[in-house]
Amino acid sequence: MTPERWRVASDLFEQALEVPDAMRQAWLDERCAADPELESEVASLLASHLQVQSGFLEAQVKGAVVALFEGSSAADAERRIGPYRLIRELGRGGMGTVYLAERDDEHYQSSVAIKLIRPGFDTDFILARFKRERQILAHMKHPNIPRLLDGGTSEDGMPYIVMEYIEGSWITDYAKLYDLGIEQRLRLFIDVCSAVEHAHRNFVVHRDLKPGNILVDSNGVPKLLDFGICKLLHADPMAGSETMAAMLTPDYASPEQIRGDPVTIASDVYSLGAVLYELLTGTRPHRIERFTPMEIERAICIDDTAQPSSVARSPAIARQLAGDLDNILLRALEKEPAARYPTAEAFAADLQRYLDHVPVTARPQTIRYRAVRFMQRHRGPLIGVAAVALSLIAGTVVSVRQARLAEARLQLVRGLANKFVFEVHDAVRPLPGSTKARELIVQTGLQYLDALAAGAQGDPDLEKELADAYTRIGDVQGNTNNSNLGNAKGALASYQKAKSLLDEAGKKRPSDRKIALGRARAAQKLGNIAEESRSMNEAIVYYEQSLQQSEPLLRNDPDGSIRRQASNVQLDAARAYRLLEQRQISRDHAAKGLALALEVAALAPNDLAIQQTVVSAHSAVGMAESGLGHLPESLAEFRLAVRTIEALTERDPNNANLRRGLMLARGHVADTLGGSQVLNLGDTKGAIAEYEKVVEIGKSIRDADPADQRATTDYGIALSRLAALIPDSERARKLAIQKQAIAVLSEGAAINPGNNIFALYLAVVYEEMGDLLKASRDLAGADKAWQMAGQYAGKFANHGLPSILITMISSNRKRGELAASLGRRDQALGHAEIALHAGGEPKAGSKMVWTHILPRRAGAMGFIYLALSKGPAAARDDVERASEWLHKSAGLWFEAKNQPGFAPRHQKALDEVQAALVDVSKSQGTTSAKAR
Amino acid sequence: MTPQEQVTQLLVDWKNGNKQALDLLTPLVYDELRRLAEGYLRDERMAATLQPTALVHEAYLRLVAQNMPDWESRSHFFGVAAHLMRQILVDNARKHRSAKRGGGAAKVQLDEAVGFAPAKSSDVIALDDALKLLEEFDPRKCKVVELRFFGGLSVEETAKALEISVATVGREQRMAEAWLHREMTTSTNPGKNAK
Repeated sequence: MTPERWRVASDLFEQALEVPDAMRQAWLDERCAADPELESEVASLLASHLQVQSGFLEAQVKGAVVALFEGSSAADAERRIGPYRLIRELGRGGMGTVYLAERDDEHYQSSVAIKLIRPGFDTDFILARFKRERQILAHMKHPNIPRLLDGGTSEDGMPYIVMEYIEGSWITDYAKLYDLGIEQRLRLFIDVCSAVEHAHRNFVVHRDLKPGNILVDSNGVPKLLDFGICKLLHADPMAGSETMAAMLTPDYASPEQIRGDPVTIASDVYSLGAVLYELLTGTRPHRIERFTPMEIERAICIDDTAQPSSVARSPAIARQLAGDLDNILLRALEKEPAARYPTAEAFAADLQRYLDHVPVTARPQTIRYRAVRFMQRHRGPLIGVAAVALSLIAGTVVSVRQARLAEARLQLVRGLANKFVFEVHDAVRPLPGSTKARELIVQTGLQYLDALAAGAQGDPDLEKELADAYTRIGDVQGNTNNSNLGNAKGALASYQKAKSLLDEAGKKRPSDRKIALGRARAAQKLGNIAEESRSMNEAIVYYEQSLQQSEPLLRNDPDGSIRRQASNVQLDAARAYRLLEQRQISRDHAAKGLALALEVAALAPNDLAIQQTVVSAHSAVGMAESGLGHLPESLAEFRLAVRTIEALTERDPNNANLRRGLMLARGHVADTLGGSQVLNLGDTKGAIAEYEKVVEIGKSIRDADPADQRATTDYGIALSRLAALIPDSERARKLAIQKQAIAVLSEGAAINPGNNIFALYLAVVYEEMGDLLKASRDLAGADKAWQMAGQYAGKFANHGLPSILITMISSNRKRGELAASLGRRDQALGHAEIALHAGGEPKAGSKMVWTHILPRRAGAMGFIYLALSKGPAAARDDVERASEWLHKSAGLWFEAKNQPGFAPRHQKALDEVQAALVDVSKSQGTTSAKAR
Repeated sequence: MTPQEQVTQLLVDWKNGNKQALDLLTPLVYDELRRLAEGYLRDERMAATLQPTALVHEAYLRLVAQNMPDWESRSHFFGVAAHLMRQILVDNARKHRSAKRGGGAAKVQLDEAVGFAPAKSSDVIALDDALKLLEEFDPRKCKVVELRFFGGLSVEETAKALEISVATVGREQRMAEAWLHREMTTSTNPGKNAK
């Protein structure tokens, strides 16, 4: 279609929408009398317009976002690049990702590092830069620079670089780890200088020297990495220095880099100096407190670098640094490029002189020169510092002036602490490898807060503010939802501090709603952390405290925010009590949570989040009631959950999440009616009807996207549950559904053979199918089905799933009994062997719970011998053997009985063994009678 | 420099005609989008509320300094982010579909607590193909869809960014939706009707 025709079609489409429905066709006929093609185009667009449901495009995009981030890293892991197999991601830079990879062909196997351009970043500029890095590396041959091994273009046209894989630590970490002395550190560093010198001689300036680019391998050899932003010293069209500056790590960048001035080898000398400074003192040469351009420029281009000896970690190190090393470092770190060492080699040479106890070339800057510069720069602030010092000394004498000063100081520190924790932390969070920096920020923030908290007594406003900051720090430390620092203990301490500050504040202002709500929240967070570390009793204490705090506020809660919070805590508490099997209390909490959620939902009928809380609350009540054995009540709640979520799906029919939620809720209803649960209402018919709906929803979700693994899983499982419920008397129907379940599950298993859930359910369905066929005397069919069950179960026998082992044992037992009854003695005993050794020998420390497996394994032997003794191929001591194994099995069951987790189904299995023993003793009686 | 200042600077550079700025901007925005989405997805409750559009907005708030000079640069940012979002989603959907088919094994059972975990994939590839086709003869409709659905701009913001009226945005979107819906649902070769 030409743009002109499209314009005509667009106009007609718009106008047609203004025409009443009934007249539209006639109207269109008239306009397009001469152009049927145009008419059909517009008509089909109009038809499509009527079909489009709201949110159609949103749904497409949203689903894709979710798909993108689920398991996207797994996709990379399975990739191959040329002859290399990617193992895992090692690191990620601005545009490239580095993977650990293996080359495995017939001859040798070796680990390498592969650098790839990240998908979507293959712009000409980046491609050119990447190729340049490859060229540069190809020219470098130096023991302290990783070798370029290979390079090429992958099947999808992306260039890649294969490098020697260096397993090691950053130079600073390495020095710390092995507690290296100053001399050892210097020797390592001299090697780094020689690598940099090598690069310079190849006309390459590295431009991003920092500890993160220097690894020390397992042989103690330092290696200089990442020539990604290096610059060629001769004509280089790529050197756009201003934008490049944006990518630098400011801590090690030279003043000329920060200013955007031309970069020379002197810049690398400076960065080397900064690295050595950190290597020797443990701190960076500049204290950059705020990452703003002005602040960075001030710190790097204007401020004097502190004498390394003055910031050393210990007096002993300070003594070693004072003098020559101070002078050498300060020379490398001169602001003026011309005043630094002219080359990396010269820098290294001076260090070597120090090691050789020969006079070094670096000279100290005079004190007078430094003092003059200092006074010039700090005239203003100096007076301020003096004043603060004065107010501290004269702190006991209260005067209006000093009070103001103290107040100003407090405000200053307050502001700093807030800025630190809130702004600086957030700003560095997206930076790769910023974890260390964030840890430091958190630590420093905590120091400020602790200092402030010590002086906060008596000021509830300050206490509240500090508590907020502690809560925030706690979130940063422990919140698993953020890119967190995984420090549950730290988070716990911070929340506790927040709580005790709020408790203090609360004493002074008992009616302050904000403080009370803060206390309730802090207690809930403490509870969540306790729950995560499986301290349920502790969690409960916190939840109860939280509820106690919010209780008096509930009556005055116009916007529902307090009830919303309390409702969530009630559900938290219900869950914790349920896990502790305190079912009655769990139920009460769930019911209260439900009542609150319903109140809030009434206030905000269109709020999806609260509706979801309502659904969770109904389910929580349902589970609690079910635990109490109150099945009708439980059923009623699950039904309400279904109804609520059904209403939501009606509002948003394309929302697959909601439909899945509905499916799961219906599953609860079905299981309560008469599912596989031990405790149910015995209403098999009702359960079947319910599961038919579950299956229907499951199918529609799966059909909407056949590639969706989870939908396939859900659908397959639903079918297998439905099949299990259908009584054997409806043989044809049951068999048909079993076959359907097998088809769906096999499809899933074929796509993802490593996923044991498909195998698990396939094994179960096949076993049940075998049972069904056996009952209808289709012995060959039954044997075949049990064989499949055993195969699927056997595949995952070592995965630590008891149910899969049980299926493996029972399907082999059944095949063995069948073979025995047909007189196939060897075959029967073969199955007995497999059952007896299913899952291998129990090992110490294995996760598998063997308590209920071992008696089944012995039982299978016993039952098969018993069947043999009755079959056409009986041997003399079959009864004896059966008796032995069954006794063993019964003994193991009795042992299991004394341990927790012994359920009615285990009792049933024991009963079966005991019945067989009675049978055996009768046979023994007849045998001995015959013998007599 | 904070990422915020980097991004702001890069946007300004880009606006001033520096093409490299876009190349440098892309990974920063990508990382932020990805990081935000991962944060959402780790928490089921948050996953339920995840909207790509919200992601782009949040990325904007985090990435662009709040003293962002002018509206023009802001709409530039959303233009970039929306297009990037589309590109990222489609690339990954393709990879997802062809290469791995569910590497993250589903640990899901039917009897798990009623949750609102998100579904796995959608037809964003078909949407992208259709959009490419639409772009050939009506780039503006394509841009409207991109800004609205991948970039999360409101109708008003979209109108401002494209310098058209609010009513026009509404019309463009309505027709684009009808057209895309038809392209994506008819099983015949997409775009046959349109050519």
